[in-house]
Amino acid sequence: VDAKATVVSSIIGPNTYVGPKTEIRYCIAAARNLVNWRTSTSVVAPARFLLSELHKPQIAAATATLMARLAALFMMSLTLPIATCIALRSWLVGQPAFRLRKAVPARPGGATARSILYYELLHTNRCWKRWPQLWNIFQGEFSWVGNRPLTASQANRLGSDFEKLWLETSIGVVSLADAEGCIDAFDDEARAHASFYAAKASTSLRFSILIRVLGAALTTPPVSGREEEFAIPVVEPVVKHQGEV
Amino acid sequence: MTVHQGDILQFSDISDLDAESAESLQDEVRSNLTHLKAIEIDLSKTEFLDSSGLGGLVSIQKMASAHNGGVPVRVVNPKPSIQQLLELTRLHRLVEIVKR
Repeated sequence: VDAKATVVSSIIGPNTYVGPKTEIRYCIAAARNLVNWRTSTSVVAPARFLLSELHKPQIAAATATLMARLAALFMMSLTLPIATCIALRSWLVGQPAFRLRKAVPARPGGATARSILYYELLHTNRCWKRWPQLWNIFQGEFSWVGNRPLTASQANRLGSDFEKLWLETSIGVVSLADAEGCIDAFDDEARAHASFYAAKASTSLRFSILIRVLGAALTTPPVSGREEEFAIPVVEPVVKHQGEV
Repeated sequence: MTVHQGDILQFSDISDLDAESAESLQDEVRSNLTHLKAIEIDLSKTEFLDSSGLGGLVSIQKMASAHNGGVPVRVVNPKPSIQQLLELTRLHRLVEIVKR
């Protein structure tokens, strides 16, 4: 049981992990199962950072991860000619084709790690902009579906525990917010989608998000006239106060 | 259904709390906020709450807390599955859950 977890009038079963900030009241918790003895209801914890078994099915999880990483590599190889054309188009007009960005790591279970560097393809639509991030999936830094990466300043603006759930699940190339039409946003709505995903992520939800986003992407041409309209600056502006050098 | 009971704005008979219904709740709160002392959202008939619905609740809570020192927002009688979602997303720390 994590030091920051709250357990009240409950029984925690063997080999059960209770994550930080998780509140368990009037329940029997065993692995990912939670039975509330007051309301006679049960739920399977959708997020492993909240509640999970200590001995995960390692081989199945590792196989799924490996398959996802190989799928990213395959997709990257398959779409390389299109991405190359987009990059060449930028270079031919003397503009940079890629932009480097830095994201704070997701911290399932409260772990902290180094920042994650990723690239965006410039002068293209919202979908192809994320093409280089397939490499991050292959490297194991991103997932196919997750919450979008945040800069350090964005992460600092997450106020409540509800909003902080954004960082409690893996970073994804596509997100629930994308599927809901809230693309590259960081407003209340985007935060709600991110929190919902962190709490309710499941294989079916991930599959549904992927299908919806890919469906929309396939109907959008790689280069549109409205490119970069929503881009957030890579390097955050340095605010200098009077008297500062 | 929206009912004014004195200074309390009460919403009830919400079957689905999604983008559409959340927006109408927000509009109602926005237009009545100046006279309010509390907002009560009865979710006893709500079977479906998605991420847009959660976003709506958060927006209402933010509007209410920014107004005149803070107007409390209460979620009344949510079904167990809805309450579990509110607790999983830690939204129960922002809005009060009331059982009557």
